[in-house]
Amino acid sequence: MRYLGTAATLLVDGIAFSMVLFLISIGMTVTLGIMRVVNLAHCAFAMAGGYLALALVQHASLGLMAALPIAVIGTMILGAVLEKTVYRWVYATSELGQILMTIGLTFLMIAAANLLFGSTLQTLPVPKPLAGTWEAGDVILSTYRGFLVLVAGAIAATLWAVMEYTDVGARLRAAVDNPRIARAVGINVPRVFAATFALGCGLAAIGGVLGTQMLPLEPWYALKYLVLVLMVVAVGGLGSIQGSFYAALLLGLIDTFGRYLVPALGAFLIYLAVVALLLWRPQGLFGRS
Amino acid sequence: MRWTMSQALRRTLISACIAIAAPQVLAAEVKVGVIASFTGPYAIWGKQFQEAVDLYLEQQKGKAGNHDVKILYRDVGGPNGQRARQLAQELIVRDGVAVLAGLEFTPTALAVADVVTEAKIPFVIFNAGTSMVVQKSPFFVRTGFTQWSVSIPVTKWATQQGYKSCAIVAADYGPGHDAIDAYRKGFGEAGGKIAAEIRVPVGTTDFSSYLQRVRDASPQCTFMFMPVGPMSAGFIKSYGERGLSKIQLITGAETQEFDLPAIGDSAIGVVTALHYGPYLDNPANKAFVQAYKAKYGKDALPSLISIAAYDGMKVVFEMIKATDGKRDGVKAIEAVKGLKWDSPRGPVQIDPRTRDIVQNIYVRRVEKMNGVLMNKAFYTYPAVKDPWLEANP
Repeated sequence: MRYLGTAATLLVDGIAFSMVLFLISIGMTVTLGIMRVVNLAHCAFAMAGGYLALALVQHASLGLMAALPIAVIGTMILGAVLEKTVYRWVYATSELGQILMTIGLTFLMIAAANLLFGSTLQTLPVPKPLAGTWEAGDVILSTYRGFLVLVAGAIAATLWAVMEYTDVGARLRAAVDNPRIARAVGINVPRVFAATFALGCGLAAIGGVLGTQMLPLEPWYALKYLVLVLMVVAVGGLGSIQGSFYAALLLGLIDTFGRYLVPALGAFLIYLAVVALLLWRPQGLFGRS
Repeated sequence: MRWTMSQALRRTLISACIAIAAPQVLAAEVKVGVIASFTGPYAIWGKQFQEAVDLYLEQQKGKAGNHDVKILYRDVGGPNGQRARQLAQELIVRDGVAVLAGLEFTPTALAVADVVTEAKIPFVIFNAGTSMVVQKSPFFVRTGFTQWSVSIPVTKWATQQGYKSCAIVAADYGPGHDAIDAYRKGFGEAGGKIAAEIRVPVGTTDFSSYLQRVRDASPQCTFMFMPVGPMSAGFIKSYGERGLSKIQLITGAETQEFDLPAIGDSAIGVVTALHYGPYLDNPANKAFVQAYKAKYGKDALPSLISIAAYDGMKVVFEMIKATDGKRDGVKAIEAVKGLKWDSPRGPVQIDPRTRDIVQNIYVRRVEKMNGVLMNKAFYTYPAVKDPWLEANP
C-alpha cells in the first residue's frame, strides 16, 4: 500500500512536470514542423511570460491566477510583434543563420531579464487554496501539482479538439503536412503560421508561469531549459503536437521516477532515455522519416 | 592684488611642503590585499566582505597602531583557482602587500597555498569550509567555519533529543560529501541509524522525488546540506510544502537571514547549528549590528559572510601591530597564534596549533518574531575546535 502511495505521488509529480514541458514545447514543434525554422529563442518566451507574471504579482499585487491571463496575452503580443519584425529576417536566412539569429535573440532576452529582475532564482507564489498537500491514507499529493495536471490536461484536450474538429485545425494540419499544396488550395500559410506562432508563445507563457515551482525563473532560464524542450521536440517528432505530448509525458515520468529510484544516476537518466529513443526512432515517436 | 598673490604663493608653498613630506606618510602605510568574488554568481561574498572590511577600517579610523592601512581589493570572480593564484602573486610582488586576506572557496584557498608559503606572507582566509585547508600552508589563518565544526555539534544535539534514525540529504559535490561524512560519523557513533543517504545533483530545482525518498525512509530527523542560496532555499521551501515538517529538519548555514524571506513560513522550526547569526544576544554583537545598520541602512543585516571578514580584519590588524608595519610574515603569524578576543560571535581564539578559529557553535531554531523570520539560538557548544583537524593532526 505504501508503494502505491509513493507511486501515486511520483505519478502526479511526473505528469505535472511533463505538462509544463509539453506546454512550452508546442510552439517550438509547430515552428520547426511548418516553417522549418529553428527557433532557439522559443524558451525565452516561456521565461518572458513568467517574468511578466512576476512583475504583475510584485508590483500590481495581483494573485497568480489574475496575473496568468495578462502575462499570457502580453507574451502573445510580444511574440506576434517579433514574428512580424525580427523573424522576417530569420525566415529568410539559411539554417545556420537562423540558429545564430535566434540564439542571439535569446541572449538579448537573457540580458534584459538580468537587467530588469536580477540574477536570483525566483518562483511565483502558489495561491493559498492550492498550497500544501492533499492526503488520503498513504497517498500524499501536492495540491498545486494536481491542479497543474488538470489545467494542462484541459488545455491539451482543447488543443486536440481544435486540431481535429475545427477549420483552423484542419488548415494548420494541412500547412504542416504539405505547405506547398496547402498554399495551392488557397490556405494563407504565412498567416496560419503567424497565428500559430503567437499561440505557441502564449502556451509557452502558461508553462512558464505555472511551472515556476519546477523550473524557477532566472535569466538563464531561456537556455537552461531549452535543452529539455529540444529533447521533447526531437523525441516527439518535428511538427507533431501529439508527439510532443507523448514525448513530454515519457521524459517527464522517466526523469521523476529516475530521480527517485536511482538518485545516483538521477539527473542523467533522461539523457540516456533520449539517446535510446532516438536510436530506435531517429525521426521521433510521431515524426515521418 | 599683492595680497592675493601672497595668498597664492603661500598655498603653493604649503602644497610643496606636503609633496615633500608625502613619501614619509606613504612609508607608514601598510597595504593589505583582499581577494574575493565581486562579480559573477557569487558576488554577494565580495560585497559583504567589503562592507565588513570597510566597517572595521572605519571603526579603527584606518589605523593599525600608528600605521595607515590601505586595502587593495581584487576580484577573483568565483571558484577560479588559477585566477586566485595569479592575483596573490601580483599583490605580493607588484603591490608589496604585508598581509593577504579574503577568499570564499576551498579550491581558491588551495591554489594560493604555495604562493604564500614561498613568499612568507600570511593569508587570513575568510571562508573556505573544508577542514584541511589550514594544513596546506603554515601562513594560513582561518576566521570562517568548517562543515565539520558545525555538523558534529548538531548531531550531538539530535542524539540528546533522543532521535534514533535519520535521513541525510546533501548536494552531490565536495562540501556535500564532507557534510555526509560528518553527519554519518557524529550520528552513527552515537548509535543513531541512517535510514537513507540521498545525494542531490548540484543545480537541482525540483526536489519532489528526493523528498519522497525521505518520506518513505520515515526517519525521525533529516540532516541536510546544500550550498547557501537557491538550492538550500528551494529545498527547505518544498520540505515544508510537502508536509514533511513532522520529520525535524536539521542543517547548518542554510537558513541565512537574507534567504529566509524567500523561503517563507516553511522555514519555521528548522534547527541549525552555526557560529554566527545577526540575532545572537551578546553586547559585542549588538554593537556590531548597530554599527552595521548605521553604515549600510536600517534594513541591512550582517551575516556569516560579514563576520568572517570582520574578525579576519581583527587578525590582520593584530599582525600589522605585532610587526610594526614591516613585512615579516613569520613574526606576524606567530603573533596571532593563540590570539583571543570577544567577537560578535562570542569569545574566539586562533588555535595555536591549527591556526583555525576556535568558536562557540550555537544551536538555533527558525522562529517568526514580529513578522520577521530569524534564527534564535537556544543552546551553545562552547569553544568548538574543528573535529576533523583534531582527529587528523
